[in-house]
Amino acid sequence: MQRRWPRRLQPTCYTWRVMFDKQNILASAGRLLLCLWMVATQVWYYAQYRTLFGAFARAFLR
Amino acid sequence: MMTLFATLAGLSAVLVSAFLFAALGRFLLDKARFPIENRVDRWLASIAIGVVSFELLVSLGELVPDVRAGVLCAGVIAGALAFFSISPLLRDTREIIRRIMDFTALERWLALALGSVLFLEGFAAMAPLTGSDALHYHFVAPLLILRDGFHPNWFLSHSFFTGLSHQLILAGLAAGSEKLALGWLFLGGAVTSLATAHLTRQWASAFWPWLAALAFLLTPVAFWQITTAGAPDIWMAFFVTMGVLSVVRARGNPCFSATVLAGVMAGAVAGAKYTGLFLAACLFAAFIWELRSMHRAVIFFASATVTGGWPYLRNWVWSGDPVFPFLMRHLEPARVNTYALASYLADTGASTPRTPWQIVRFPLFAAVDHIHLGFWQFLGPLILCLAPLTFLEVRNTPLWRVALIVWLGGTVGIGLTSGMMRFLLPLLPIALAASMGGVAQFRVRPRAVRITALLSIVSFLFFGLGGLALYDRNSWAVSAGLISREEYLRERAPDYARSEFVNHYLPGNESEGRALIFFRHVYYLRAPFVYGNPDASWAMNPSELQTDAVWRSLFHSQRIRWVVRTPEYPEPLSAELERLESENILVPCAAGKVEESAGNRIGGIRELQSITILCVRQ
Repeated sequence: MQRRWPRRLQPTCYTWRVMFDKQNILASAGRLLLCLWMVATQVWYYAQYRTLFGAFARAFLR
Repeated sequence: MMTLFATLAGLSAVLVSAFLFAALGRFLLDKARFPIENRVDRWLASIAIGVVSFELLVSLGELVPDVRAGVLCAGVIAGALAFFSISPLLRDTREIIRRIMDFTALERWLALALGSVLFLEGFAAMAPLTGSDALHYHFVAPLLILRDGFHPNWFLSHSFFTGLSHQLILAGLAAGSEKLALGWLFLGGAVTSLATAHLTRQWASAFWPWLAALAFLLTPVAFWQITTAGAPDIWMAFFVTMGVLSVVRARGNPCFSATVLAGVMAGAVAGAKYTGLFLAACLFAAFIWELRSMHRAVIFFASATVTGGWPYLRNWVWSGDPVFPFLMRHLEPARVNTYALASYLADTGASTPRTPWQIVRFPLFAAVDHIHLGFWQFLGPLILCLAPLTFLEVRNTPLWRVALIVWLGGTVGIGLTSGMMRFLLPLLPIALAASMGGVAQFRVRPRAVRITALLSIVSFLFFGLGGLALYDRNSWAVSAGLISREEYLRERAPDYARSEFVNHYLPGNESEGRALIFFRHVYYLRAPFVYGNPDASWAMNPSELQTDAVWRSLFHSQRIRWVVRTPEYPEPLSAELERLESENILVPCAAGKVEESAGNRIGGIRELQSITILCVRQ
């Protein structure tokens, strides 16, 4: 039997996506922010492991 | 040439056994009259049930006095039952392959890439065992059960940590094949990648499931676990993923078997490792939330308990603490070894306080452990980087709700109690599948966001492929016979040279006495031994080992005739043992120098270290 999801708990994040799907400056800024987030988080993550990458590079060159 | 042949034979045996596991599961599913419409779903559920049933049969087999015979008998029973369902399973397999051939060219290429990565990882998994924890207990505890019988080993107290998935190692070693045991761990990774693809397909079609499967296989923690680690934790990832799919299936299927299957998956996760208890609890919470039926919740709980309760029951009978040693202070305070307990708490991260900010990073797989920086903690940036797209795609569907409860509940639970990033591996398939689903559904124009996301995924795949090549190149070389087993082990396996030295000087016969060993990696020791480093040996309590009489009693009761010093004794015992030397209770019998790695193996620094075997004068 399908149960109804309590209305107060309905997630709204899917509907927020509409914000990014418009042709205005706010939506463009939102899309730019998403791209920047993706690039920045990857740079941050890989940078955390830089000493490990250095060790691997030295091991490979040895 | 013979080595290459042995590697290919090992891989073939793993493939055949995978079909037998799946056939055993299919046999049980058919007997339970549980129809699963989707072929891939049915295939994955079959292998999951087959492996769990095999593990439980092996658990029964290890209770008989001749453990090897008992375990082999369990294998024969499993094989005989599997035989009845091999034909429908092959029909399903043929049909699945035919469907893949009908996919678009890009999908077929990605399927081929997945197969190639699986082959490369399987090839590496056939290399001799070198994983640090495996050489200490994952393979040692089952080996000692085969040698000495099924009883508690208070000296190698990590043996209490062995769970249901370790029965695969026990079965492989009982069959006389380390390759088979390692191959079954690789199989766990292989089926997890397929389950990841299948879960992703619930959210996104086309090439996204293949990308998710590849991203899983090329994540450093995953390929380390699949190839060289020798740890069975990877099976947890498969059972958690199947658990999510089973809970969703049970919601739409009122039959008894659907609930039992979901409970068995949760039990398999709980029985694998202590941290699996959190994941099983999350599956249970998701089940209750979705079905809201007391009757079915009881069936779920009972199935999970019967499936995964065995290691906890064993520990409770042996020690009085089902999650030894973490509740010993409360349940058996008189038997607590405070030194070993403190060491275990520190080693598992259980004693380290964490800030809310650190906990928040766990669901995003973004916590970085700077103290234990290594590939074995590297889960990749994809979940963090794709998080906004994933978040924007969350919908009010049963699959999303179950996945989120397990993903968020499991990661926060592990973050709170352990803090070890690699313990998040079982949740990586769910997080990856959801992330890929998020990108696939983000069809906003212009496509800059989606293209950036796709480039991020592809660059991570190339990064992972490079890491795999770098990490496993020596394993491929030894599996192909390009370097010898001995050369590989001397370079890659910690404490191998020390083990060779001890094996050379001491007899391999139990009746002639045992050696007290302090170095950690004891798998390659052929001489009978007692592990004595108080960091991980409950029986070696520094606060009790204070007098000659106590030491003499220990040597006598454990038939210890030799003590091996490499090059120093463990710090909490060194003063006592040096005193025994000065009193001529311990007398040097053999001494030499062996070459071992100094620090992490990746550093590549090797140095000569002294090793001394001292005879015990009673």
